Amino acid sequence: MKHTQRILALLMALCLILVSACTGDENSSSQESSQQEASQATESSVTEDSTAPPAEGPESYSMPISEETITLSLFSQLDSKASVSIGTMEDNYTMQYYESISGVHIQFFHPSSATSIGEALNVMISSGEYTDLIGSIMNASDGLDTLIENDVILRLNEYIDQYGYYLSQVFEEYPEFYTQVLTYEGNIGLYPTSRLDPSTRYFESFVIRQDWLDTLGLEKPTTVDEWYTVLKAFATQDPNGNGQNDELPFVGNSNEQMGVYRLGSLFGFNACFYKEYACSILDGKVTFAANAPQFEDYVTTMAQWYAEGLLDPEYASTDATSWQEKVLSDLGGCFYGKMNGGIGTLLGSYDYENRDPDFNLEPIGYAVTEDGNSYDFYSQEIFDQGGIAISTACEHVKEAIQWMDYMYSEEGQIMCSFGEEGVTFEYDDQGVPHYTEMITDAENLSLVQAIAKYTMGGIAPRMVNDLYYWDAVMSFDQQRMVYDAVSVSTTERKVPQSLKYSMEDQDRLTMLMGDIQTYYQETLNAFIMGTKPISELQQFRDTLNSMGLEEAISIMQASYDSYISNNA
Amino acid sequence: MPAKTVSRRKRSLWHRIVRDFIFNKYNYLLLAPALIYYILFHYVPMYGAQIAFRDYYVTKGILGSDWVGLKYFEQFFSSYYFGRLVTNTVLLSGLNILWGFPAPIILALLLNEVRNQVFKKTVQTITYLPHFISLVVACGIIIDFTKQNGLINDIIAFFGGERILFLQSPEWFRPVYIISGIWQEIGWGSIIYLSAIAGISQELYEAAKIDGANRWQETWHITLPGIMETIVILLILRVGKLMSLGYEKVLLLYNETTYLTADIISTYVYRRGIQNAEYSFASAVDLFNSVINMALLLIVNAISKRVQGSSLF
Repeated sequence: MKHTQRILALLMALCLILVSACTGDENSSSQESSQQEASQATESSVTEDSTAPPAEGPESYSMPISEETITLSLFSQLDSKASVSIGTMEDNYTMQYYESISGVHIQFFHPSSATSIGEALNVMISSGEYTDLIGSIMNASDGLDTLIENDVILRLNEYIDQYGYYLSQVFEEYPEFYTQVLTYEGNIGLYPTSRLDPSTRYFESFVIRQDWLDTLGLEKPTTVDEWYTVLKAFATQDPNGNGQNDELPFVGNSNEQMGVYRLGSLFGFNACFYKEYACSILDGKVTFAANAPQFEDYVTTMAQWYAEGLLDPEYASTDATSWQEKVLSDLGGCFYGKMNGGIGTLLGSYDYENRDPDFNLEPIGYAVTEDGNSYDFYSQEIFDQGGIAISTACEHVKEAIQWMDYMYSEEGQIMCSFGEEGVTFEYDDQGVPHYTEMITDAENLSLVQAIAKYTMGGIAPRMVNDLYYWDAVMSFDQQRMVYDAVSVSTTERKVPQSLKYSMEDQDRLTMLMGDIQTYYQETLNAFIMGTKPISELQQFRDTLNSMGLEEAISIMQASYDSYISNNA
Repeated sequence: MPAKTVSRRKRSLWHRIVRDFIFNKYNYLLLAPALIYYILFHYVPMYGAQIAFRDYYVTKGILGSDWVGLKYFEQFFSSYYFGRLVTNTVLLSGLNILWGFPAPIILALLLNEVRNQVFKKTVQTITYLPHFISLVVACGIIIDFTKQNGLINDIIAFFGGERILFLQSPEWFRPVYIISGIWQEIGWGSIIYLSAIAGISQELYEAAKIDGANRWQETWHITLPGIMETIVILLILRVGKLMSLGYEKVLLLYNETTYLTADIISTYVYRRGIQNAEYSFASAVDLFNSVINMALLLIVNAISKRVQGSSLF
């Protein structure tokens, strides 16, 4: 008896293995055929386009997208705001609601948060097995053109013409958005995420201890000279009132995005390397920071400020946490910060009871330079440099396009940020959506965390940075002041984020800029900290040129020229 | 018939292998995890090292990417930082061996002389402890201690000295790195020497005592020669890793202001390869690094064989 049972069990196990092996085969073969279909579809639509008269625009559609529930897999990073409460976006309330109205089930593949998103993407791409939809595709090490050429993702131009009803309208309304999304080869490789409303494109600025200014009877600084006066007063007049000169007038951290490099903008050029390789547009020419005429003035001033103790002496070895601590313990007077992560978080976590009850942070605009203008290098473009691509493994391209496209409609935008009316939000008399108590009173979660649990507000896979969401998460008026402070500055010297390069040019540029970055950053720090005399500036420039800077800049210049002629 | 003898020999070899397996099956079982680890994580990845000779694109795959020969090696040799990276790596690692290698030996010799067991065990436990602290946390401690208003600077200031920005001064990077390295590894490193000392025959000491040797002479003429073989083997292994200094600790402690002394080949590979995703270039640099390592190992091994008579192979 026992013997036969054992044999039966073995047989069943064998059957299971066989069955799973068969289904595995089926899957892969159907994937192949779908790839063929997809490529045929692209080809046929291309030929249609060339023969048929201009299309009358994409077809409109209504919910549900699919009568029968279909499943699309999506590679997407789980936002840290959501991961505190849910393990997958499939548990997100709005995702479930969207599935119920659209008939599209999204199966999420979240890469481990331990590896960078770029690495995880590269691993998936090189494995050859793709999800139907691929988020954060811009983080892959290969460009969109290369990915299209090698049949990893689909060229979407024709599909958008055919099915992208709402995105096409947005493209018509914002033609510069369309050119920003196009790749070097003229492809659209992704469904782009965007910042349609101008006020969503500004979210960082210099921030100052307004209560210290009030105590000392000073105004917000608007020129470099006034900056010096204010920082000097912070250093010498003991605004924190503890009887010691322990103030650090300007605190930065080792992350160059938040550090002393930002102060270059006060002089009218960009010194941050992460931002378009520390380049600015001066008189129509792409100019590297070290070659900008303002550079000498900038390093001389910074070196002087550093020597006088106006810059945190440890700025280069301070990490983000200890940098926040310096502000929260009444040492830091001024810094560069984000609207939410900087101003909002700090105002929210300051210990008002045991420390200064007047603690107040306010944003200040970029300083007015000698020519009477102030220059902004750090605001965003409409195209958010992100988006979701459709892989060649996708069998339901039309539904996938429409699923993403709906998030560009007005109802879709509201749905992404706010969820379902009557459940997660209500409209007020003016038609403005407000979160319900389900979100505002969520237990053990901060507002943004609760929003990320129940809606797609501020997190992938939503498409548009929605203004209502933007407004709803700001808890302090000081955060709203950022837009007014920064948006008055001109962006004419800013290198466009969407410069496009051919594959070879991009590789060459990355290669050349690798060593230049190291050399530029360490030398700039040495100048500021006084370990290298500023008289060696010419030598610094010569060395940069010997490292191939001129070639790199000429690549960028060519790209910029074609960008200008495309947008003219 | 020659063919017959060959096949007979083959069979006998096969038989010997099978018999050996059956006879030592548990030993092979014990060996298996280590063997699998090396095959999976050290031999299989060697296949991918060929991307150093190719223009690697993720989408094209390893075999699909174009062969470019030594392009990336030339790029590295002509790089502005080639000289500095090699110098920094050799100096940091060399100085680390110079100061860090004798430290556990000295500790082991000293502990060997301690007769109070309670004191001995306490010292051992305290010196082992840092080894078990995760590197990230250990570096956090180092950063906190060396800050402008950290413990070490407080002590300096107490004695009337000038506060030093240790982690922003290139000339301080190597001392901070090496001293903290000794702190981390001295206790752990001394274990192997203590066990080697325990293996020395007590009769030798008794004989020395009868001959009138004092404690110092016993250490110098018996203990030290007794563990010499261990020291030499460990030194060869250590020198063989001269160039493959782990990037993690440097990465956690350095910043742009200390690149001058702190930027080593492995951190450079990390920045260019992982952060900038220049996979082919970074592989070429790392491959170059491994070749130098291998050469060093062979050279030191040969020297030791000739001078000392003891070697790895």
